[in-house]
Amino acid sequence: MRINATALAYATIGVIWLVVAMTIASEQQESFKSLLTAFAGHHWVGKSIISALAFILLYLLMRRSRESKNILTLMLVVCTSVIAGGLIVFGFFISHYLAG
Amino acid sequence: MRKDRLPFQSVVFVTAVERKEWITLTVARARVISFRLSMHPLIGLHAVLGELGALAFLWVLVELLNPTESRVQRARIVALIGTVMLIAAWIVGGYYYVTVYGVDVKPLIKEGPLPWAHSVITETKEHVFLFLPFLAALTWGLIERYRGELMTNKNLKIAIVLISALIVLMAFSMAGMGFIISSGLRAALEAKMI
Repeated sequence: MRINATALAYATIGVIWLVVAMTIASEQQESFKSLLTAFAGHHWVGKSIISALAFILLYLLMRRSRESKNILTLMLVVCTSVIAGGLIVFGFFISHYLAG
Repeated sequence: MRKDRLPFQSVVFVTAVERKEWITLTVARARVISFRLSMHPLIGLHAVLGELGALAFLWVLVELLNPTESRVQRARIVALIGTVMLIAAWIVGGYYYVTVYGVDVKPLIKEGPLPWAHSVITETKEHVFLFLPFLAALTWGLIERYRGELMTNKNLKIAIVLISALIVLMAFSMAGMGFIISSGLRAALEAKMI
């Protein structure tokens, strides 16, 4: 079976933003954190399992889509998502810490 | 002889030498406990797997700077090994985080002089790390999909080199964050014991 690189890239971008969203949501909404804990025993394990499942699901949903002709642009979007997502998480925890 | 007392301590010292010896001994004890907690075998294994994963993607990057058929073949194998290493680092680090760090280390750091080592650095590390196994799988998938075109398509080569470089930088920044977290623990133990 041939790998669909475009679907793989979109799945990666989707998971990055899902991790960022889950991270912030679990700190802001105690009920969401409790839900993750109830699901997997620990909120971080819950996020890990959901990320892995989302990656597989997103890839399977998009695997029949047409391959992008410009993989470089797609990878630049992946890199931008990683850097922006990382900075958002870092900035969020700094502000969370400073707010007490 | 002057009696001396350290702040917040019930220990009474007779001489300055005795006081100095006591401080040296307690700092040494703190370091032993810190070593036991921060040099836990699981955290060592997590760090080794993570750094091997980083080195694997550095290898991929170098192979693809000037790709030939044999270099692409090697990059394909090494990217798969790197992906497995990072997934293993995820599982081992996660097990340590849930069973040891959260119970023994986190409360100490949060009570110590560098609570931000947990509240900012650990929290960022544990979440940003989650990007790495997926980026690794993406890199392996790209090499696998375009292995026949990498010698001729410059944009594809740049795309994979770019993602590999990002993985290497992120993995090494994880090691840097690990150092800050260990320093937070050492500072907490030393402050607790003195």
